[in-house]
Amino acid sequence: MVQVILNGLMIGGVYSLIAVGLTMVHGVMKIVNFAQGDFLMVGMYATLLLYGLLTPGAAPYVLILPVAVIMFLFGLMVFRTTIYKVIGKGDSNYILLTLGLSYLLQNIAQLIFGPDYRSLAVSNDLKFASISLADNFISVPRLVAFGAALILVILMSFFLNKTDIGRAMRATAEDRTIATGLGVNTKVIYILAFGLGTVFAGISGLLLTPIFFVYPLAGAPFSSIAMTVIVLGGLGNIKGAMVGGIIIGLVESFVSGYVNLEMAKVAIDLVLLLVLMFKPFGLFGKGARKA
Amino acid sequence: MKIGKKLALLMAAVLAATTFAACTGNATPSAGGGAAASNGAATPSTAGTGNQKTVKIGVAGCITGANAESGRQTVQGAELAAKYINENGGIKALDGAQVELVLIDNTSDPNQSALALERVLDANNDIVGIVGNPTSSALLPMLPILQKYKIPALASTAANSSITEQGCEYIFQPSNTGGQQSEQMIAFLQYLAQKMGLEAKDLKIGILYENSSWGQDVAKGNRENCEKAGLTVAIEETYPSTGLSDASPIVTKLKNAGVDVLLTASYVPDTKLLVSTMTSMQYKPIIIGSGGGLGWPSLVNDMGSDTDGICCINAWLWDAKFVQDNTEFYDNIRLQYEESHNDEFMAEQVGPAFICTMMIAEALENGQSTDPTVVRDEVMKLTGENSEWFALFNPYSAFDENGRNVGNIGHSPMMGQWQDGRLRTVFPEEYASTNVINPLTLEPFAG
Repeated sequence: MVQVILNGLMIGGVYSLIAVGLTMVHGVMKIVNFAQGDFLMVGMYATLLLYGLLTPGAAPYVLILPVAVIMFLFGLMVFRTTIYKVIGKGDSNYILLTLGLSYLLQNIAQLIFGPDYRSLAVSNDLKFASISLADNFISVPRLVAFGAALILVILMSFFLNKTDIGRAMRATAEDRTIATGLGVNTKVIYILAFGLGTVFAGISGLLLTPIFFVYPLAGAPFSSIAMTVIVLGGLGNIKGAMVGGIIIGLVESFVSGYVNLEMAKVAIDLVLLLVLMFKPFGLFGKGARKA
Repeated sequence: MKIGKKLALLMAAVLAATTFAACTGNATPSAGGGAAASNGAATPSTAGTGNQKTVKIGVAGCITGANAESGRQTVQGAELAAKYINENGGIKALDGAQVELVLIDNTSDPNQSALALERVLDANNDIVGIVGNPTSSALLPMLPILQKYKIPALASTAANSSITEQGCEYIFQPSNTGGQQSEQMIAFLQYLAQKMGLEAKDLKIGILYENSSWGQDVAKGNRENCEKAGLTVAIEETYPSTGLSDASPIVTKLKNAGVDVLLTASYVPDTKLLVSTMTSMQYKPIIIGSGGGLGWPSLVNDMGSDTDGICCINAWLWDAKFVQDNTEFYDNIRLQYEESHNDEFMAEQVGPAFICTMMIAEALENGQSTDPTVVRDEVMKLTGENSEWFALFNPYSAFDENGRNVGNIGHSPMMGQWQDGRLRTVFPEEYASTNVINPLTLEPFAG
């Protein structure tokens, strides 16, 4: 039982981490980025490339800052060349655009890096490290991902609530026209939001490199689960993404552990359905979503 | 033009190019090797030198998408064969015609495999035969198209036993079936238990598989063969073929059930998750896999010596004794491959793709015709005795009227065990290249 809970919390943390960036972009820009999983994959490849500069065996976590900078610039480029043009142009435009972007990134990755499963030369002592609690184990790389998710959510909440830029982002999320009238440069806010969303995906990718292979479709398994998490938690709500991720992780772990893994996917959809029946805007949604 | 517009145009162009590449199969994992590799819509091209005639052989696989490493192996095997044929004078019975490969990419989506095949066959009515598809789930939907166009296909490593039961006269299954694999897995388990001084009947067995036609076939065989041998299956688990995002729940269940021996059918990403989760949970059962992920070099590239001791049944193994007997292949072709691939051994799908391409070339030589029906009839006549290439699957190889290799039943497949970074043939003893080691202690057995 304890192991099942620990498993659920750890994978839930990973889901939360991926969902936070996605929900923030939606909160501010009212678009759901269907390429978020592929941004994660780009973050993994960025980590793989930068890891060559480190001593083999080293932990990749020291690369967080350079990967974050690269991902922010990458997000900026994607935003400026594609996303910016469809803001406010209707839902179908951004759905098609971000889906196309997803295929584009997967194919570019395959053309550049090939289809092989790659991994960092991280020491097995780190890759397989675990903390033992009686007869239960917590994988250290997963614990790091969980801890990073918590810290990033706290930092992001502080940023949104206690800084001027954060308040400007929230104002833009509420009403772009009024925010513009109040002197907020919404174009900059959009760039910042999208860039930060991309940074979250990239950092998620970095944190997952000791656990998963790096390959062009590495982000695909997380795309749909991240969507489920943000809808469950309430679109645009960062706390909701964190809690939603943990709930999905726990549901998956319990159903996989006591029934089977095939049924876990069904159970996740069932939980989402039940929550939306009673809380149509998600657990922490305020009814202002438009997507 | 503003920089933003220029970038947007550039990205649109790249998107169009890469999407086209993915759809047509032009995203060649490695297009070198001396043999021309083209997509279905390519203009006719010559391979080799001058304006020599060419013969087109299709290569079907998961060339892009989630399972693209399998496609990479398949294409590399076929390219190696095409290069070998072309450098040795082409198809002599056809005036030295050079082999040209045409890639057929199902994008790792079984729902796309029939469409991809038909599109390529429509655009290339001169394809004489096809290598692949090596995964059963993608091969099964291709069978009606093969029958419609009357093009023979050698299924490489596809293992589902129903492949040759669909009434398709143009499919050949030169490797072994999932049922044969599981029979050998159980036979090996009993052999290993004896070596370890254990009673196989006392061991608790776990069966774990991805929910695909291959995984189901292997699991069914494992279940039946365990029952036949009086072994105890403590737990049976499946997971979606779309892959695992977390292996902890499965490993927790296996551990709680006290599983001593795990029989698996999983591809590489899931295998990595499973084995690394087991290691971090300090749980080490005897692992006996059924091809797929447990036998591919990317696993050892990631886990290093932690793979040592893991056992894996394989459709084909690079160092089986009868493979070594073919000195042209073992001492020349294989070494060339390793030298040009960073010392990576020939993996499970490289060898069979090479052999299948060579078998089609042999059928072209024997039939002296590019008519696919003649090629089909000539492939049917090949055996391990009359074909040095078919013998690389197994010396007893022979097709039945449905195209299944029934000659290798009882002699194949081989069990491999990871030792010092390579998958070595350890069972059956008559084909073993080295002795099996204790998978738990990694020590050699006495005597």
